[in-house]
Amino acid sequence: MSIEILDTEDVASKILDTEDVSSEDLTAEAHVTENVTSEELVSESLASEDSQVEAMETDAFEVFTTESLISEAATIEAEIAENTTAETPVMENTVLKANNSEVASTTAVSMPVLEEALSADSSNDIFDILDLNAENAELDENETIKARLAMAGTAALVSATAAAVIVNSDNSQNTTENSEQFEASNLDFSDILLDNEANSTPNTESESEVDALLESLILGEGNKTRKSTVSDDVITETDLDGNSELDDDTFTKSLTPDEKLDNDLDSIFDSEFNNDTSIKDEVKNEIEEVIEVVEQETTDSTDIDLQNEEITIVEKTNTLPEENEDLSLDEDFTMHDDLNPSDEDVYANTLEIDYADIKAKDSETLPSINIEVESEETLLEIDEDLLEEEINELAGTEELNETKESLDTELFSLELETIIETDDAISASIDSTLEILEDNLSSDKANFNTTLDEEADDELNSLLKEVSTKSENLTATPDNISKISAFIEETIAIEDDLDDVLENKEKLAPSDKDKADFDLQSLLNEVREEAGADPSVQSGVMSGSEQTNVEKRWIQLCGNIDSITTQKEVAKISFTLKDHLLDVLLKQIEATKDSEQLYRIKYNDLIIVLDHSQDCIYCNLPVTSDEYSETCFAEIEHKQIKVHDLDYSEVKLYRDKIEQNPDRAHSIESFIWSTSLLTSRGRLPAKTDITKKIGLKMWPNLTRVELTPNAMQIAAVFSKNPGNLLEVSEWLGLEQRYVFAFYNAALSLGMIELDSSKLKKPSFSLGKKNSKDKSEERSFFGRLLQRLKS
Amino acid sequence: MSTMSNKKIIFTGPVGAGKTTAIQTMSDIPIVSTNEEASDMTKDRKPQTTVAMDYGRINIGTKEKIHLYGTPGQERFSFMWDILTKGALGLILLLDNSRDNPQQDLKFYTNAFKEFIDKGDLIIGVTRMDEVSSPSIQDYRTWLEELSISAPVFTVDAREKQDISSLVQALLYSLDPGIAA
Repeated sequence: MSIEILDTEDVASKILDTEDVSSEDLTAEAHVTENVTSEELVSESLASEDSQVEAMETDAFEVFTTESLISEAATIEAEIAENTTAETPVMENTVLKANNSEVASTTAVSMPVLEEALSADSSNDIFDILDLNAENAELDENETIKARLAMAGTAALVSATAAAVIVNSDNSQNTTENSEQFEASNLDFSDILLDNEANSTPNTESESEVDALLESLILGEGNKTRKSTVSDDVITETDLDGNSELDDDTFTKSLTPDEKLDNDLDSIFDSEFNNDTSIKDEVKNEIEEVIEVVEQETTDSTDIDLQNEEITIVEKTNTLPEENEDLSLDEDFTMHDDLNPSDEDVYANTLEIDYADIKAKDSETLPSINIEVESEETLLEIDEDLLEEEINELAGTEELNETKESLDTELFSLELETIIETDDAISASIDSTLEILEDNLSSDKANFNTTLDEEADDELNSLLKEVSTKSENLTATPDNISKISAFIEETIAIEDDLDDVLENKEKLAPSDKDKADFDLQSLLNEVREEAGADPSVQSGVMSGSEQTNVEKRWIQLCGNIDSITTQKEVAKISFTLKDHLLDVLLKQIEATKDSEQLYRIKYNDLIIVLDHSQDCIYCNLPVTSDEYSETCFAEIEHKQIKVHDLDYSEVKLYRDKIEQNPDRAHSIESFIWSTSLLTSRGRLPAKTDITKKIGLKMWPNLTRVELTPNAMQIAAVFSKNPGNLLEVSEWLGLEQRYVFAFYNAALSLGMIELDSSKLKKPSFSLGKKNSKDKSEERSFFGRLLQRLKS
Repeated sequence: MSTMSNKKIIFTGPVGAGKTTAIQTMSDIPIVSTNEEASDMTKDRKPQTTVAMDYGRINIGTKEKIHLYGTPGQERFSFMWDILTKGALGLILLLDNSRDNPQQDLKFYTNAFKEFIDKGDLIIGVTRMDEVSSPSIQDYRTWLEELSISAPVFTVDAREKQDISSLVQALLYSLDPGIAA
């Protein structure tokens, strides 16, 4: 039977706690159940721990849930209550969930009461009937009062239910669904009736009266007037009934507007107030007054306006109590009436009239259109002629255009040829001009030198003649002595003048030559610009330009300072390292040489990224640019220097930039080398001891740094034979600036050995006179070097 | 004609360092090679290898010339090293930066030519640095310092005449800084 015996006990106890009635019976019931199950299952559950599981899996056992037990208990309770009704009547708290059959029986029992209520003239009559039923049921006064109160609260439901019954009866379909609808909408009322019924005996007289009334209602036309009085629920239900709605529409449409208004008013009065003549008369009078007022206000209105007034009138009746919803429905119906077929016909007729008017108007305008068409045709014919003429003209124009194009093409080709010829002529003229200029310059120079020489020679010859003439006449007299002295002084003065002339000649000649060279160079540049497209001219100039660029670059790297001979003069050509970008760069490199981190040095527009891990420096400016050269040479504003380490995204950005611009990436050694050269420009760092012997710890990577003149030779000297800066310069016969430049660059890279104790032994002696074999060897090496450099 | 007219420069180094290429780059004549098909692990780096020597020449004028000799890279042909270095002006050691242990190569060849290096001059060129940047030139300098050897170290591309020419010039200047072109 049941596995959850304990649950059954719990439920039973709960029921006993809540319901005092028949607790003993329920307990007994539970005990009976328990006794039954104990015999069958307890022994099995003791025999095996899995017996309950097996029992659950067996279909033979019925599993009782808590809900089923509650339902069972409720049934038992209902039976107990039925048995104890006479002793303890429960009207208000009893709620029975009856099935359809029970509802049918309930309806059968209550229908006489209901029909009697519907047949009464007023709601009070309903209470009288109830009182009568109560008397028939021999209920006490209190119970009758309760019934009256309940009936008062459900008066509207009575009307609605009656209407539903009427409609259903009208359709002659008293089905089970109708019974359910009845039950659903009037359940409480049915309960009350059932309660009354339970305490009373059926009244056969009332029942017969109600039946008779129902028959009269079903067969009569009063259902139409009653319809508007029912509640929304009933209206909805009737709307679903197609037959009823069709009849209603037909009836309404058959009326004129005035008749409709009267009909609506009568319906309202008949349905709502037919049970109370006093109220009916009062309201009717009031509405008539309103109608009169409205009619006075709308005497000049049209039929459509009148129809609107109907709405107004109905709206005014909304002020009546408990009629808002019904009147709203009437308003809706009225609004729907605006869309009735008669209006559509009116619209259709209007459209026909308009169309006819349009056709008439069209027919009036047609002749003129035909005339216009004829005239257009004429015009078209004329236009065709004109068009042909125009086409002919256009054809002529096209021919002209073609001719013009061909002429333009020929002209263009001629211009091109002329340009080419002109270019050739220009090139030829340039060449000839250059030759003439060079010839003229050479002749001018020769003439100038000849003139100077002739002038000097003439002056000198005249002086010599004068001297010889005077010397022939010279005698040893005091006057002569004084004259001779004067002559000597004069001669000295003349010699001085002659020296000045000769000196001026030497000075004048080079300067004039430079001027001439400058003029020639300017002219060549102009010619080059004008004839830039001529590759022959351009290629010839490029070599000179390249040479100029090399020289310019060497000046940027090594400067053009004068040589010095003493330590005191060092101050003239020294610079302070800490005032330059090089110092910032060197300190940053030294500080981060063991770091894998990338650092960016920013100074104004200059950006330098230092990457020790890749032995790489990225510079956004070309190292060979004038801008970078000036930045290195000039003193910096330290406040403008910004250094920070790069994050991952920035590192990726600069790696991409390096990949895209490999010429902007340099090894640290080559970048420092160039920067140092550009910073020093042949100068020496402040307080440099030019007399101190220095050596070279290691050679720079001269194949990957920017070479300066004789850098390899200077490196070899410092490497093989330590010496001071002036000695090395003197011994190699090189300009000091080249040696100083190399020294600065190597010093910045830490390749200069400044510690005298660590200097290597000289492998040869500077300035020592070489043997013959050594001279031969040097000569051979010299030729070999010349061969290699060529 | 003096004795100066026939001097030779030796190119040495491990297999694949670019000795033959360097001589070919500098030589005024078609080089004479003794290449054979590589049969050992050398074939992983190049299909042929020098078994005896490479020979090239730089002509100076019409009568003077410099002989360029390349040694075989493999140690089993080391008997040729002493023969070739006899009477040479200097030694150019080419090291391949892409090899497994360039430092070991440096040690091996400076030791193998120690006697010559003590008397003559050594110039070191490191090839394939564009392929493998590490070790750096500074690393080679440090290794040389550890070996108590003073020699220039340059990054070179054996195919670039300027680079190989710089090696030869550095050798000549090391021999005599006072020479003038």
